[in-house]
Amino acid sequence: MSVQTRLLLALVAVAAAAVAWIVVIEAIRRTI
Amino acid sequence: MRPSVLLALAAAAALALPAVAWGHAGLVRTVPSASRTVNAPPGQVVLSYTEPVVGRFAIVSVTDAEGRQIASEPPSNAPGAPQTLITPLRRAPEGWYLVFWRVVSADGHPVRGAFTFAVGPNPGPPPQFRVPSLSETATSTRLLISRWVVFLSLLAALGLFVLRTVIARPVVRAVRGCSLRPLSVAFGVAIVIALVAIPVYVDLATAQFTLRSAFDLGAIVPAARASGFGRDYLDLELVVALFGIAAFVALFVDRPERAERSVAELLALPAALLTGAAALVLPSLAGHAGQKSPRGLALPLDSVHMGAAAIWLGGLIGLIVFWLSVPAGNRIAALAFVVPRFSAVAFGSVVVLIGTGIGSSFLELPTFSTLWQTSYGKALLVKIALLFAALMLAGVNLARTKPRLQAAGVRPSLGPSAAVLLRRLVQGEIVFVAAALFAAIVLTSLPPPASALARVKNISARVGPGPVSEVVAKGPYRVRVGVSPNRAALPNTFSVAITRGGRPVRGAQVVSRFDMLDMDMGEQSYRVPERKPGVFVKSAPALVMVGHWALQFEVTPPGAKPFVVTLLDKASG
Repeated sequence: MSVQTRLLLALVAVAAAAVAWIVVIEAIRRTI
Repeated sequence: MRPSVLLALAAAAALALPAVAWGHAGLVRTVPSASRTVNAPPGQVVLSYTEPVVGRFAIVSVTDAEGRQIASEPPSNAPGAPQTLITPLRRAPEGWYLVFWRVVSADGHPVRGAFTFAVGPNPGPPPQFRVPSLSETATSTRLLISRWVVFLSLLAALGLFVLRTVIARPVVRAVRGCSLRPLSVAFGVAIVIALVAIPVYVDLATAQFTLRSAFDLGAIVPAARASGFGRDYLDLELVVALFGIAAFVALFVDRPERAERSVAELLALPAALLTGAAALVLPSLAGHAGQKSPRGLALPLDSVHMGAAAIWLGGLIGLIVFWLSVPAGNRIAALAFVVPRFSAVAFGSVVVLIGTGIGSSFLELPTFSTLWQTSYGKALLVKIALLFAALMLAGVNLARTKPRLQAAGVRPSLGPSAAVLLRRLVQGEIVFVAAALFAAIVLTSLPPPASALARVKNISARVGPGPVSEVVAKGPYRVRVGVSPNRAALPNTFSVAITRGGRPVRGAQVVSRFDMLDMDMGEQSYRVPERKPGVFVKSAPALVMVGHWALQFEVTPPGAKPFVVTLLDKASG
């Protein structure tokens, strides 16, 4: 597996984390 | 570990409290006021709650003494006030009316209650209303089990991931022939179970709360999306799926055989851990912590509590998977490497678990005595006892098994027996921690004790539901208090029999006070007349609502100082 592919996959994980926290922050905003 | 340290840990565990819990809407104000007489027919009934309630799922019935409905339309939320329900009424003639309500609070739990009011000026004596069944619970077996599976799989997945990517990872380089693949597979299984269990749980819970069939998805899905509880858990499903993706990537790019992590690994692993942390926030938001003030403290305490539990429980499950999957020839060496690393992390987790538990206890329990006087407190004590048992096993592992495994490099004869002991103890620990989690699930399905309980001082006895006959000693006096039938919205007979040295005390002044603890209704006060020597009896519709009441009887014996007998009563419907 090339370095680029591995980096691209890692960026997918980072994007997943970002989306997850956007969902959580929106849920916190809704509750408070 | 030294016995003194174990004892200190055990003492702290005895105070550790749960964090995840659900909130419940409480009725705080009614118009017309409960048990009061209004002079003109009210055009509507207004009910205000402690938190937003969903108007679409609310039921408010207003009936007269003959059971005729006078609500003209279903209830709806007041404009701009999600905590308030308005129910329009037809013109109500003079007389008494019963308001019965059932709402689904923001956390998805149903709450019911009833109260009476009268339209004057001469409503007459209060009639005997037929109150619909008022008991409702969120603790049905299938709901408890599905909720338990959700939390067990979610916590196991998080803990397994941490064990695989952080704690056990270097073993590949340290011990030849070790593979981390079984841990990755176990993580995958746990996350798939969580992804299936979450929607099933939301479906079952919403079906129960909205009184529909679990298969009526056309009604359940909009209902789940309309309640705060349903939205939070559907968000949890999304975040767990994202965690699955990020964790899969982190495992896929991970090359544990190399001494240093690549840039891709350094990006993917923190991203996956952050996504897992996000999944811990949502159950807290959907529970009591999301409704408990100060939320800035309650929410982090709750989420960190669950994170610590995840590392402990998931790590234990991972240890067993690791034990079973490592080839027998490498087992002792591999365990001697992984177990001390896991012990250090697990010890920290347990300390954090206890610390956050104690912190939450200060927010959740109004008084220390609620710990053994309420169902919530009792479920909590069971949870603490189970965690205590798990800690004892953990203590044996720390004190005996870990040093033997480490010494096995020098004295190989110690290895096999230590490994077998480790497996047995860890299996026992898993059973206790999983059972403690189940106790926490029961606990979080019960409403926490009413905060008004802290308002009542010097409670002589806790009584009800059902008829009461309680003897209380006050100095030289013995006071027998009776309440019959001790049911809400009916006239109840309150009797106070006072004796001193076995003889009735004549001519005392007795004043009774009734204070509703679950909502603010104002105190009612009656003089209780003497019917027989030393026996004071009054019949009054004083307990106008189901719930907790402080019954206070102020007794002034002739020529003596007054004293007060306070009973904490639970009136049923």
